[in-house]
Amino acid sequence: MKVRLVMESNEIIPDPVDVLMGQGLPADAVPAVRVKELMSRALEMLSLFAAPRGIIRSISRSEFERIYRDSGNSEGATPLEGIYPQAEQLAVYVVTLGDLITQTVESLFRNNEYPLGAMLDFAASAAIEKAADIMESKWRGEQCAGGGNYASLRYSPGYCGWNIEGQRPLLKFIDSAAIGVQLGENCLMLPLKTTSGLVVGGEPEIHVFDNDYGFCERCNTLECRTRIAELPKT
Amino acid sequence: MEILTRIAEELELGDDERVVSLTEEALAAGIKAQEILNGGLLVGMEAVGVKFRAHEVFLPDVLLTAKAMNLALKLIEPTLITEGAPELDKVIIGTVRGDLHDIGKNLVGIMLRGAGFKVIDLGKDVSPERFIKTAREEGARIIGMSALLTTTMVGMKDVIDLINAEGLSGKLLTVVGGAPVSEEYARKIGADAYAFDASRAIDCVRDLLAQSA
Ligand code: B1M
Repeated sequence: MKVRLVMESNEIIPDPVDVLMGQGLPADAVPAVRVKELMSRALEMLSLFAAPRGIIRSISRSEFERIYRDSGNSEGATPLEGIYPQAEQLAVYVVTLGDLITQTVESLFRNNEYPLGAMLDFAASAAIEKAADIMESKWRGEQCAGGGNYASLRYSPGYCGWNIEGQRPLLKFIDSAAIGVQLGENCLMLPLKTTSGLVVGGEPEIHVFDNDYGFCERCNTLECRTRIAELPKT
Repeated sequence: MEILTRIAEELELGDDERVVSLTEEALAAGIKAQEILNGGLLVGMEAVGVKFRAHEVFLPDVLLTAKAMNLALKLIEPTLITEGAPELDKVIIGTVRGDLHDIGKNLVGIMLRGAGFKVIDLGKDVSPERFIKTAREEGARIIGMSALLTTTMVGMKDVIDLINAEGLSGKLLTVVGGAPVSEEYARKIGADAYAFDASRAIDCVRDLLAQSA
């Protein structure tokens, strides 16, 4: 299965709490009136200037194994190495908001409107995750129409020991250029507000791992813990 | 002076319109620009910095304050020059070669400006040669570099190597930062300081300038 998805920009408008949390506010913080005003302007701009689109393509275990092997120097042992072989289904994806958002942020900064520029940038970062959620859940719905004991999670090159170079074989496999996503020599994707990765579907337990890898010491998000905690319990 | 206290208070609230009108009022009343800066603007900015570090206010609040600060600075700048105020210390900043992320670097620049430095922002994808040429031309003592990916942060070392090769070590100091950069990495490549975030970048720049004075 390979799906190219064009989303409506209002589908990907993030929860303001997520946007504020990206800027270090606690979930229960009450933002100042001026900050709330910035937020509503930023979300309005996001719906005007984001052009969310993505591709998600099912991939066999052996095809993914080739991508993973071609990812250059990934860490010696990674959680993903233990997770993907247990998957029932796998898919690779790329999703972008297009370039107009980044251009708008840049122009706001140039014109000294950086409170709004920064708010828009953080809103776009949260929105791209929402766009990826939409693609993932659409794919999951088709893979696992019967429901049951099933969960999917996304894993990206550059995270948890999977070398960022993995983007080369991954984006080639998906043909990311079809939605205008290019990869530079430093593995930077353009447009900037783009994300790529692997969706792993299967029993929720396969996603559970201990964060005692060497690279976990250097991680300042430990987001894996929240992801694992939010998995459906059986 | 009451008006300076009000400038500091409105600045803390991030009300740019009020800060601008109060600054205009203070200038019209004949208060020296240097006094407006030291007794009003920097006081308000410092108060926000303290609250930010104590997690009482957050990035959006700080940016509102910084915007008001920059508008007021623009107003007083011409008068500061005619008053013969000492030139502000200059800091060159940029995102290293091959990296196009600049929001973090922009925030560092905004905070440094707010703290009273003259910031020359070279933007993104900046070559080592350009960092050093600009520092020489501007007579700056600090270069601040930002990178967001492990594949691009190696560009920081290229800048430091060039500083050393040109015999500028100890004269031109470096501060590095960005998500994949760490204290350990900064030490390994010979950077003079590492800043975890924009507010710590201010402390690093102040410390380095004090040490090298
Ligand atoms: C001069 O002195 C100084 C001093 C301090 C300095 C300084 C200079 N420069 C910065 N600072 C410091 O002060 C600033 C203000 O306080 C800070 O600046 P920052 O720029 O860090 O902070 C910004 C204001 C806000 N921060 C950010 O915008 C980055 C936050 C994190 C979570 C992040 C986000 C949000 C995103 N990302 Co991604 N992302 C991560 C980040 C992890 C993290 N914890 O930081 C990072 C950078 N990303 C990473 C990755 C891997 C990726 N991302 C990607 C995508 C994305 C999103 C689009 C989803 C989103 C937006 C990215 C953007 N910048 O537009 C991909 C690449 C995108 C591309 N275009 O190529 C992708 C490759 C994942 C993928 N395969 O899709 C990692 C890089 C690791 C590596 N190996 O290089 C990463 C560190 C996460 C991780 N693994 O922990 C400090 O770093």
